Formats: sequence, structure tokens, C-alpha cells
Amino acid sequence: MIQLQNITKLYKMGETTVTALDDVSLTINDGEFVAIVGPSGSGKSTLLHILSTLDRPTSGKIFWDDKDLTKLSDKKLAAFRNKKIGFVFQQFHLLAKTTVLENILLPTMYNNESNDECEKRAKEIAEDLGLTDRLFHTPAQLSGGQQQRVAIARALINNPDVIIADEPTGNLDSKSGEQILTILKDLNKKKKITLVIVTHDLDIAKRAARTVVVKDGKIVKN
Amino acid sequence: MRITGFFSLNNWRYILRTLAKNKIRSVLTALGIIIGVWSVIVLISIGNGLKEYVNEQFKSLGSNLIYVLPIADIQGGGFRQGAPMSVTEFEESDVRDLKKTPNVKSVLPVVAKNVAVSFQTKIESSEIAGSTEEIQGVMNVKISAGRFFNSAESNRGKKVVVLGGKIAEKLFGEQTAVDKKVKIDNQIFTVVGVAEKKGSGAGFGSDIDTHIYMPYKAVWKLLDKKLINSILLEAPDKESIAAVKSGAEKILAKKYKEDEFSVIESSELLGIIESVLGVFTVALTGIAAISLIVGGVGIMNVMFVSVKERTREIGLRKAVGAADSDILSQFLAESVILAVTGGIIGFLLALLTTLIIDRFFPAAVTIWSIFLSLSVSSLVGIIFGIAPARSASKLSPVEALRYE
Repeated sequence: MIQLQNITKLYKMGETTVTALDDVSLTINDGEFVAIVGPSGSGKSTLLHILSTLDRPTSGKIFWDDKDLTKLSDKKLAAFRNKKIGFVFQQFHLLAKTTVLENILLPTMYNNESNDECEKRAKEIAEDLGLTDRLFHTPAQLSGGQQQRVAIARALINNPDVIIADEPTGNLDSKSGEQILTILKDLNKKKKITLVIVTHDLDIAKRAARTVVVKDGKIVKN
Repeated sequence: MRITGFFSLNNWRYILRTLAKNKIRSVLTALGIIIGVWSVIVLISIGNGLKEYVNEQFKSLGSNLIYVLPIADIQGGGFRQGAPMSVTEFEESDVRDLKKTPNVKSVLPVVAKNVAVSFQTKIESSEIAGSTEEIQGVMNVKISAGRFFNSAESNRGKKVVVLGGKIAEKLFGEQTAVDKKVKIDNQIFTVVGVAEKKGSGAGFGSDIDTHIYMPYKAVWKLLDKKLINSILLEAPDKESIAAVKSGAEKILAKKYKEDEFSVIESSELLGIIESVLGVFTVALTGIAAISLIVGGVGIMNVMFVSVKERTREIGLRKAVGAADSDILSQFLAESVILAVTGGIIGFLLALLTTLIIDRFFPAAVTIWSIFLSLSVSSLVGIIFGIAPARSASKLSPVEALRYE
């Protein structure tokens, strides 16, 4: 379970202070599919970044299974992300001129498992996602949908508890976007992976079990 | 259990591939290090080669020699700072006086001159070593053709010469030089013998195989002046050297002031020469090392550009679990690999250059210069790579992922 308690995030822009999040509290249960929606500048991405430990709140607490993450050092947070969280980004963020297999294996560079075990698992995941015959291709040789599938495979390689997806279909056509969403939903349903998606697309939000609406740095609907 | 982070195989594979992706940029970046290491190793090799050369020269001469020089204040390992160079020239009477030195085995006057020697249409430059016939034994000159000049010829100052092996070859080729006439400074000399080549040479700074031996009185006829440049004393054994040296100093002190002459053992002279060579080597090497700094700045520059280009990659790595130290070590490793590769290439080029130089001039690469090139280039890679690596590690993952 993920708990955000009284999270505030302030940004200093010269003389001005911008409140990106204002005393936000949120609980996400294990295995939930939550969509975070809101207009541009509402603070939904900031909420996602803090939830996923990519950023630290100015004040407030974050608990993952009763563990206070705000007390962890940057190094421990990195290790935590490596084990617990898989990321899927709008822009895929694959390493160019690196093969699909190597892209999938990227998070394993920062854990202590053997190369053979990781590679075996990577191939299994690639097979589930229909990427077996693309393992030694580079991202430039893939379509947008395939690239996002590689990103999903990368997100799954360390058996995370949670997948955080920031506008995962934002750069895809509707057909590919639908495929990606189906894959993510299946992961949530079958593998019980908690799924948190940030989106501005209400159609996608409708597919989630719960929608959190963010506006002007506050949760207005949950 | 797999080694992760800095030492993981995947990390090194990725780093090498990143550098190989931009081959031209990598080579140009390493060029400063290549040139720096190359020049440092070549200069050290020349310095080493010269030291070995001088050492061999003194070995072949024997260690019982004492040099009396008209140079002021040679003490210990070098010239005394601030001491003026003397303009003393010795006289025949000094040679006679020094023969009274207790325990001395031989006393030889030495007159040296750089000359042009010609035979028919061939002209070569050479250095004359003018002395008595005893110089053959003292300098261990072996004869390959003819004979050395004798005491009668020496006493009369007869215009006879013994040519060094190389100079004879250059002037006469395959034909025999003995009994031929050569012209030195427009005066005719008869060749009585040819010395065996000593290989790398055993002379005072020049190749002894190009020397010409003649009676010192014959050199006076060339100079039109009766001067003696230096006097060579030979002690009967190692144990007598100190006593002979002291005796010679006492005799000369009766006639000359302290700053008008120096009496030094061959080991001292060797020390002086090595010290001078050492200073030159260090100075030139220091100048060459400046190019290593330039090379390091080049690496730093390119690494900063690389960090900028790969900002989103850094953000991604941090998102999936890379700690600041992982990012720092990745970029530092790239910098070190560039520098060390430059060091290895620079060393190999220096090795090749030294082999070529050694055909014309003493030069020798030592085993420790391998370690020097690797360690110095690693150090340069670390020192100049740390700033860009640190800047990469401090990037915020959120901002890095957003970077356009």
C-alpha cells in the first residue's frame, strides 16, 4: 500500500514560490489500477514524481507498506525504485543504438542478480509482449507501439510491485495506444501489479478502477 | 552474485560501445594524451639512452682515470653555482710536474680539436684526440689495420694519424686507408693505422669511431699554438685513485689558483655528466608534460558535452535505480578509458620512435615507462573526468527526463 500524507511541493522561481501540490493525501492499495487526471499544470505529474520517489516533497510523508520513504537517502531511494517500481514514459526513453534486449536489461545493471537469470527473464517477458523476433533490433528499427512494449518489458524486468506510467499512450496512434493499455490492464489484472497512470485522456481514465482528479495542486475528486 | 554498477560487464560493454559510437570524436579527444605520453616517453628514453651510453663509455675506458680540467669548481655532482668558467690552458711543464705525482701510472696531455678531414673528394667532420702514444693503452684502442703511432713519432710531433673505424670507412670505403694521405685543415697527414670500431662509441660526447688520434705536438702544428686542453692521469689501481688525485691537486696548487683547475675521478665526471643529462631530461620532460594537461582539458571538455547530450539517459538511469555514484562512475570510467587508450597508443608510438632514433642516437625505453604512461594517463583521466562525472551524477532525474 502506498500512502501520501499531507504532501506539499513548492518550487522557488526567483522571487516567486509556486505551489505545485498543496497538502495532498492519497492512498493506493495493492493491486489497484488508479488513473490520475487533470488539466495541464494541475500538479498531476508532480504528484506522480513524488509518489514514485523521483522527487522529494517539500513537506509531508510517503509510506510504502508502512516504510517512511522520506527518511531514505537518495542512494536507498534509487535502490528502492530499482526493486519496487517500473516506469513507462510517454517518450519511451529507450537507449538508442542499444538492442531491445539490452534496453530491457537496463534496470538489472543496478541489482545483484546474475546475468544469466536476468537475460532468461528478459526473454520470457519479451516473448509475452511479442518482442522475441526483435530482441537484437535497435529502437530506431521499431514502431512506436513496439518501442513502448520494450519500455513495458524494461519496467517489468525486476518484478516490480508498482508500474508508474506517465501518459503511456501520449505518443502513439489510437490502435497502438489501445494495445498498450490492454497490456497494462492485463498486467494489473493477472499479475496483480499496482498500476498508476497519469493521463489527460478521460477515456483512458474511465478504464481505471479509480480516478484521482487533480486541480491547482489539490485532489478535487478521488 | 553479480558485480554491479561500475564493475559490471554490461556497464563496461555499454561504455566501450558509447566511445566506439563516436570514433572520430574519441580519437581526437585522446590525441592530446597520445602526444603527451609519446613526447614524455621519447624524451625519457633519449635521456636514458644517453646515460647508458655515457656509462658504457666510462666502463670501456676503465675506472682508474683521473681528469685534470681547466674548469673551475667541479665538486661532487656538478658545477658550483655562480662559479666562473676558467680560461686556463695547461702547459707541457704541467705534464712534467704531474709525472712527479706519487703512485701515478701514466700522465697524458690531451689536445682536442674539431676538424674537417678530407681524402680526394670526400670530406668528413671529426674530432682530433691528440696525445702521446700511451693513449692507445689508456683508451683501450684496438687496431684493425696498420699500427698506432709510436713514441718517436709522438716526440717529434710527426704528422701521422690513426683513424677511427667509422671515419676510415666514410673516407676510404673498401680500400685500405693505411699509408694514404689525408688533408686536415689544409695540412697533409699520413694514415698509419685504423682503429677497430667500438660500436656505440666511447668518447667524450662524440662517437669515438669518428675520432682521429695523432701526436699532440702534431695538433699544435694545426693550431699553431702550444696548448693542452686537459691532462689524463692513470692510477695503478682503484685503491690509489684518491691518493693520486690528492697528489695532483697539491702539485697544481703550487702554480694555479683553486678556481683555475679541477681534478676529478672518472666516477665524479660520470656523475656530473649524468646529473646534467638528468636535469635536461627532467626539464624537457616537464615541458612535454604540459601537453598532457592540454589533453586532459580536452577530455574534460568532451565529457561535459557528452553529459549534456545524454541528460535524458542519465534521468532514465536514475529512474530505474542508478544511484549518483553509479552515474559518476560510468562517466568517470569513460574518461579514464579515453585517457588510458591514449596512453597506450602514445606509448606504442614512443616505442616505435625510440627504435628508429636508436639507430642514430642513443635511446632506450625502460620497463617502468610502461607503468608511467599507464598511471599518468589514468590519473589525467580521473582528474579531468571528475568534474563532468560529478555534474552528471548531481542531475535531478525529473529535470533530466524533461530535458529537450
